[in-house]
Amino acid sequence: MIYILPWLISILEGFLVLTVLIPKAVRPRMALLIFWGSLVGMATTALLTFTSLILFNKIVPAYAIGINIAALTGLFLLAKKNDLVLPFTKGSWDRIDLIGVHVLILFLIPVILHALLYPQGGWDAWSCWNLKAKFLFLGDEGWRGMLDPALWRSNTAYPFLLPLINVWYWCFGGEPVSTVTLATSCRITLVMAGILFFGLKELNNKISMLLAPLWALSIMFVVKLASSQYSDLLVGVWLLSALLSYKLFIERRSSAFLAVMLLSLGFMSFTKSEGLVLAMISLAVLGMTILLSAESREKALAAWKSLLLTSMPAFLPTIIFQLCWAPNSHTFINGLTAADHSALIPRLQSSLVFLAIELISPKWNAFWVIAAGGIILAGAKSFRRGLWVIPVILIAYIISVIGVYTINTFFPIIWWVSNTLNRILFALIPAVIFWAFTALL
Amino acid sequence: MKFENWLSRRNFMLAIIAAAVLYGTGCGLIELCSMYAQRQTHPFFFEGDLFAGVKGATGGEKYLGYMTDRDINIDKIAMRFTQAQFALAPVILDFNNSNHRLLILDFQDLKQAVALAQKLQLKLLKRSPQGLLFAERPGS
Repeated sequence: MIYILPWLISILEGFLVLTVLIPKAVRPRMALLIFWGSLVGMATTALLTFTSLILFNKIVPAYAIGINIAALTGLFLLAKKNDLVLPFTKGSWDRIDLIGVHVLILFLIPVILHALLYPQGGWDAWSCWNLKAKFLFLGDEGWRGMLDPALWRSNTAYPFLLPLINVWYWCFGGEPVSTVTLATSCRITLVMAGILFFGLKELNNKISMLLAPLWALSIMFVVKLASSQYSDLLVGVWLLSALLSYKLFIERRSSAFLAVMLLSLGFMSFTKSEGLVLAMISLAVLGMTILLSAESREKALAAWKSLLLTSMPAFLPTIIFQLCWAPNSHTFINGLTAADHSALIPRLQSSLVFLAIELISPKWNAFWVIAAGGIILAGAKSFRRGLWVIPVILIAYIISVIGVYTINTFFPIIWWVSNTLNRILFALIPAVIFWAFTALL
Repeated sequence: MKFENWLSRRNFMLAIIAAAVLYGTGCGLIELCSMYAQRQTHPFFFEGDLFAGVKGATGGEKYLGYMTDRDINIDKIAMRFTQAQFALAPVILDFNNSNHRLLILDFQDLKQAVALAQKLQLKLLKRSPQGLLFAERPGS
């Protein structure tokens, strides 16, 4: 029961951040604010917990709780000045919203049931993400042990947003229980489904948009990965959040959504190395698009500078981690600098063949084929204003991933792609569904 | 609603997606039921739990040497090692490095573990029912 408190603080904190950032005139409906706020809140509570590492070189639970309560109070006062509407004010939820929430919870049941079968999560949960969380929570000043070269099998070069989200909860209970990590994976899945449905409903007020999250949750392989306590879904939800912000910016012409987009990319960059690559690609593509489409280049540049400064706190953990703490990757051998380059072409071929096989694999229930069909059927609408950036980002990301598979010769290629490519694709599912549905609107 | 409107590209795609949702949900539930049925005969077991007994005896040590005769390139063995690491965190398990004060001897053949302990002149601190040995290097 003690864990309900950090959960409520987290949701409220995220909700208030969005209320402060987005003016009432363009603010999304309450249901979206709650689900989106839940995601933002996960990151802000984790980020404030992260400051404990900078100030005390260890996680101090009392400090983490105190600073989050102080932030909540400050945000509440700021939100009051910015036309705060409380979550359960009469008229802020319509009938479709309530039906949607109930259906999403119903479809979450298989995720919970699968998660309960593996309370410690999948391989990367105990060997990487939850291991980092234990080091952070139990390690005191020795938390940097998680970066030790002896732990090279545990992806020491990965950042740690997901572990910090769990540590925030553990600060309340005082022990690193696995119930928290299990519940976090279910919560992230629900938040993904909620943002997908209510985000699409914000753009097109139809109950049929409920099919979007149900499509993802009906694929058993997605259920398995979502409940595995990995960081991949977190990458996917932040990408969805960034794309939704961008789409709302295009539709409502409010720079508040750009701020949310930048916050999303900042938080995404702290999820894992793939998240950092995806965030940098998204930042480059979306940033260039906005700058090039602005009426006055100077004004747009000035606006970007101030927005980047506003969103700097979200990028700060990544910057600190990459500059000060991140160890060299022990699982990287640059095939380009090797004397013999003969392995590179077969690696590239294997990666491409595996990608093709993966996209038609029965475990996805024909998801990729149907999604491609929908995008093709929508025709030019799939590439209209505000949407063409999605395929550009996705293709650039896939090219980067294939590039890494080819160049990094540390792992045997067959083992590597067969173990990781499915998770790369899994993280893109929310963005692909968002693209297909917005194209078909 | 006119028939041609109803039969739009959008509705056609939504119908296909709805069918995919129904099919996927049905198959998923059947698979979940069979997983739960299997769990009745094969209960969940986390190998890291085997190492829980060592946890209280590490006494603030940063590293433990993890000595084994098993091949870590085999997935099952790598899993055992990473789960042991998870169970003992924030202590770091150093794979097959006997230079640390405290060592875990996780051998398939107990005789080999005892032989190594004698060779390194280790003092045995604990022995688990599953054959894990926890030892200390005297004087280090």
